[in-house]
Amino acid sequence: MLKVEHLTKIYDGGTLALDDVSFEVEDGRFLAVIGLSGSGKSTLLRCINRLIEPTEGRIIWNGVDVTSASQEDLRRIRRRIGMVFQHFNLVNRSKVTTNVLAGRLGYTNPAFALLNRFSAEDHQRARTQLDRVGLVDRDHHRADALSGGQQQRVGIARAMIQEPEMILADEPVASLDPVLAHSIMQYLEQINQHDGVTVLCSLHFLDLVERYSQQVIALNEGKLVFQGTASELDDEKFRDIYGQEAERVG
Amino acid sequence: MADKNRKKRRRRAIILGGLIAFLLYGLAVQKTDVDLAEIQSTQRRESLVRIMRALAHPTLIRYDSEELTISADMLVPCPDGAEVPAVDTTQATYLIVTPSCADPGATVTVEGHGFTPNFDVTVEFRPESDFDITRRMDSFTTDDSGNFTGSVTIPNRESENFQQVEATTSVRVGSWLHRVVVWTDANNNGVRDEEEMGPSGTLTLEIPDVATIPGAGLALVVGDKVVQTVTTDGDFTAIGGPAAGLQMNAGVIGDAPITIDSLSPEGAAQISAPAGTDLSGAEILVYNPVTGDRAGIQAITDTFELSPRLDKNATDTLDKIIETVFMAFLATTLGTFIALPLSFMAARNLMRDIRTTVTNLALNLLAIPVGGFVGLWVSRWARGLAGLVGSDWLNLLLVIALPIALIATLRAVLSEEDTEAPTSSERAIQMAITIASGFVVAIWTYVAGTLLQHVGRAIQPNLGVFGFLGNFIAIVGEVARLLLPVIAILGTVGLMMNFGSKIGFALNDRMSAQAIRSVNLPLAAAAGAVIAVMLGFIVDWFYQFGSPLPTFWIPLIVGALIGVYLAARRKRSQGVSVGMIVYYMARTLFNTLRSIEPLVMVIVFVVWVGFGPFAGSLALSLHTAASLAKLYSEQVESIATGPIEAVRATGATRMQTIIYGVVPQIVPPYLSFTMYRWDINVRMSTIIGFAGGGGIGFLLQQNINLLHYRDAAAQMLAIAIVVATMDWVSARLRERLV
Repeated sequence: MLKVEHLTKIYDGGTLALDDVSFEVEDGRFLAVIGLSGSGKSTLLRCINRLIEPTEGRIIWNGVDVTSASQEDLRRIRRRIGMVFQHFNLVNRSKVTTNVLAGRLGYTNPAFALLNRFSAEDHQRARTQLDRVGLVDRDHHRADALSGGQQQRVGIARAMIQEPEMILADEPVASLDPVLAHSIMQYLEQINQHDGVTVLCSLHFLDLVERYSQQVIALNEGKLVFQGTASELDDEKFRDIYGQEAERVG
Repeated sequence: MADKNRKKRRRRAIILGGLIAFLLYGLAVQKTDVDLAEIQSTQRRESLVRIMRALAHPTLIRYDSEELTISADMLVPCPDGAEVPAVDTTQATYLIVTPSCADPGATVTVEGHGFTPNFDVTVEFRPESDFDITRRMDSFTTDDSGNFTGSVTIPNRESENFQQVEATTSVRVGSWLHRVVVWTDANNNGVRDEEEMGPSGTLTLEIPDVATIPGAGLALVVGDKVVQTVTTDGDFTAIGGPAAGLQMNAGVIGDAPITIDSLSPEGAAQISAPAGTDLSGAEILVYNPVTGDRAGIQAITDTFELSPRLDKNATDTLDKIIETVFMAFLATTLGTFIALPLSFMAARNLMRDIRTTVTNLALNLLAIPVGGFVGLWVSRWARGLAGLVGSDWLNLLLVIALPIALIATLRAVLSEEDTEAPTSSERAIQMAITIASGFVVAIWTYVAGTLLQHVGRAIQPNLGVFGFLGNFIAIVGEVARLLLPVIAILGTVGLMMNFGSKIGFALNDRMSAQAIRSVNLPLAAAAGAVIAVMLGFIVDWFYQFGSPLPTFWIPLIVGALIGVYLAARRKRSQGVSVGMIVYYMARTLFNTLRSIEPLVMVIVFVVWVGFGPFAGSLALSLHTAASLAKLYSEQVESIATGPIEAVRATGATRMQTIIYGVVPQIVPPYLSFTMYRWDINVRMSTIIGFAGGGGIGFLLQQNINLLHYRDAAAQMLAIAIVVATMDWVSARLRERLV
C-alpha cells in the first residue's frame, strides 16, 4: 500500500507545487491523477520515487518510509517502481534493447557499470518485454528511428523489465494522437490487471480517466481537491478542478 | 509624449554612440601607428613586390645551372669601307648588334634570340686585350619567347680588329623529363671519382688541412660513426674539444672493411676498401691535435646529384611538417584523455545535485591526505614486490596469470546481480576484496610495464625500419611504471573517500542531531586544518619561507577555525553542495590554463624536457586538456535531461546514470570537438616551434630571421596544405560520425 502523508513541495524559487497532499492507494489499483497543467501532477509522481526531494511530509510504501531512505535504500526502492514519461525519455542514440536494459540498472552491481554489460538473463528479459509490446523485431534500431507510439512502448518495456510493483506514468499519452493513446493505455491496463502492478497515472482526457481508472485524485494549484472514483466526477467537481470557465470536451 | 521622449533618447544615444566610435577609432589608429605614407613610398612598394614574389616562389626544386655566353663581333670605331661582321642566325641562340660598328660613347642596340625565357642576361663588352677582361654594360630580362632588346653605350676602347659584345646568362641543367647527373668535386682532388670504390680498391686523397696543422688527426666517419682515427705519426690523442671523446669503432661500411692505410705529412691519405664498396656519405674529419676542435671536413668521394632534384629545403620541410602533424596527434590524444573525466566535473547539470552533509564532507577531506599517503605507500610496496621478480619469463607469467586470477576471484565473490542490502560482514568482505584487487592491479601495472620495457628494447634492433615500434612498446611500459604512483594515489584517495562517506552515512542514520553536531565540530576543525596545511605546503614549495610559522602553524589554526565556523553555521538539513564547489574549482582551473597560450607554456616545458617536439606536444596537451574539458562540459550541460531522469528512476547509481544516460548523448559532439581540436593543434604546432617546441615552426622562424623568404615560403605552403587537408578531412569525418 502507498500512503502519502501531508506532502509539500516548495521549489527553490519559492513556488508552492504541492500543498499538504495526503491520499492512499491500495496495492493493485489504477489511480488517475488529474488537474490542469502546472497543478503539481508531475511533481507529485516524482516525489514518490524522490526524483524530486519533497520539502515536507512522508511517503510510506509497503511500510517503508521512502522520504527518509538512504541513497542505498532508495536505489532498492526505485528499482521496484517503474516510470513512464510524457516524452518517453529514451536515449535517442542508443539501441532499443539498450534502452530497455537500462531498466535493469537498479539490479546490476554498480562495480560492473564501467564494463557496460548485462547478464544473459537480462537480455532474455529484454526480449520478453519487447515481445510483449510487439517490438521484438526492432531491437537493433536506434530509439529515435521509432515512431512516437513505438517509443512509448519501449518506455513501457523499460519500466516493466524492472519487474515493478508500482508504475508511475506521467502523462504517458499526452504527446500521442488519440488512437495511439488507447493502445498505450491498454498496455498499462493489462499490466495493472494481469500483473497486479499498482499504476499511478496522470491524465488530461477525462474519457481516458473514466475508461481506465479505478480511483481518481485531482490537484489544483498543489492542493488535493478531489478524491474518489471517476463516476463521482460531476460538473460541480469538474469546475472545482478545472476552474469555473472550463467546459468538458470528449 | 512618451513616443517623442523615446525618439529624443534614441537620437541622443546615436549621437553619443557616434562620438564614442569616433574616439575609439581615433585612438585605434594612433595606437596601431597607421602610416599611409609608408604604404605609398616607392621604396616600400619595391620591398613589398620583392617579398611577395619571393613568397610566391617557394624553394622546392633545385636546378643546377651552367653559364652560357653568346658573343657578337663589332668594330670600334667604324672604319672606312666598313666590313660588316656576319651573324650566324641559324644557331639556336644568337646575338645581333646594330649597327655593328660604332664610335666610342655611341649607343647601339643589342638583340638576343633563343635565350631561356624570363631570365636575366648580362651584356658585357670584351675589348681586345691580352687579359681575360670584360666590361659590364647593362643587364636585361628576356621575354616569354626568350628574346631581349636593349641599348648599350660603347666604351672608349678602340681597335682595328673585331671586338666582342657578350651576353651571359645562366641556364638550368636538365629538366624533369631528362634529369642530368651533376658532378661536384667534393674531395677536391680534381678527378671525377665514382661513388663506389674503383677496381683498384685504393683511393688517394689530398687533405690540405693536414699540411697546415702540424700533427693533425684524421677521423674516418661513415654515417655518424667514427670508424678510424689516425695521424701522420701514429697515435692521435686530443686533450680536449670534440675530438677527445672520439670512440673508435670497427671500420666497416655495410660488410666491407674500410681503412686509412697511410697519411703523409703533406696530407696525402690513402684509403682502401674492397672494389665496388659504396663510399657515398663517408667523410674524413680533420682535428686540431692541441685544441681538439674540428679543423676541416673532406668527403671521400665526389658527390653526384641529379638536376633538377628536390631541394634540401623541400625535404626538410616535409620532414618537419610530418613531425608537426604527429605532435598535434599526440597532443590531441593525451589532452582528450585528461579532458574526458574532468569534463564531467565542470558540467553544472551533473554537479548541481551533489550535496553532502558536513560530516561526510569533513571525512572526505580528511581522506585526501590519508589516501594520498597510503597510495604512495601501495605503489612503493607494489614496486618493491614486483622488483623481486628477476626473470622476464616469470614476469610474463604474472602478467597473464594475475588478471585471470583476479577476474575469477571477482566472479566468484561479487555477483552481477545486486540483490538485497548486504549485511555488515558482506560489506567487510567487499571492502577487503576491493583493497586486495587494488594491490593486485598495482603489482600487475608495474610488472607489465617492466615486461613491456624489456620486450620493446629487446626487439627494437631486430625490427629494422619498424624499430620505432619496439621503442614505442618500451615507452608505453615506462609510462605505466611512471604513472603507477599517480594511479595508486588517485585510486586510494577515491577508495578512502568512499569509505569516509559510508562512515558518514552510518553516523547520520544512527545518531541524534545533537550528537552529530558535536561530532561535526572536531571533524570540521581537523578537515579545515588539513586542507589549510596542504595549501601551506604548496605556498612553501613556491616561496620557500623556510620557517614553519607562516606555512604550518598559522594555516593549521586558521583552517581549523574556519572549519569549526562553517560547521557550526550549517544546519543539518541544508547540507553542503560539494558538487558546485568542485564545479567552480574545475572551471577556474580550466579557464586559467586555457588563458595561457601554448606558446608561453612551451617555455616551461622546454626548460623541463629540453628543446624539441616533445616539449611542444606536452604544452599543446595541457592546453588541449583545458580547452576540451571546457567544450566537453558545455556539451554535457546542453544534453536532454529526460533520459537522465528516466535512468535515475530505474535505481541507477550516479556512475551508471552517466554511462547509460549521459555518455550516449555526448559521443557525437565529443568526437566532433576532438577532431576540431586536432585541427587547431596542427595549426598551433606550426608556430609552437617559434618558442623551441619543435615542428615546422623552428624552420620557418629560422628562415624568416635569415631573410630566406623563398625557403620560408615552402614551409608556409606546407602549413597551408596540411591545414586545408585537416580541415577537409575533419569536416568529412564529422559529417559521417555525427
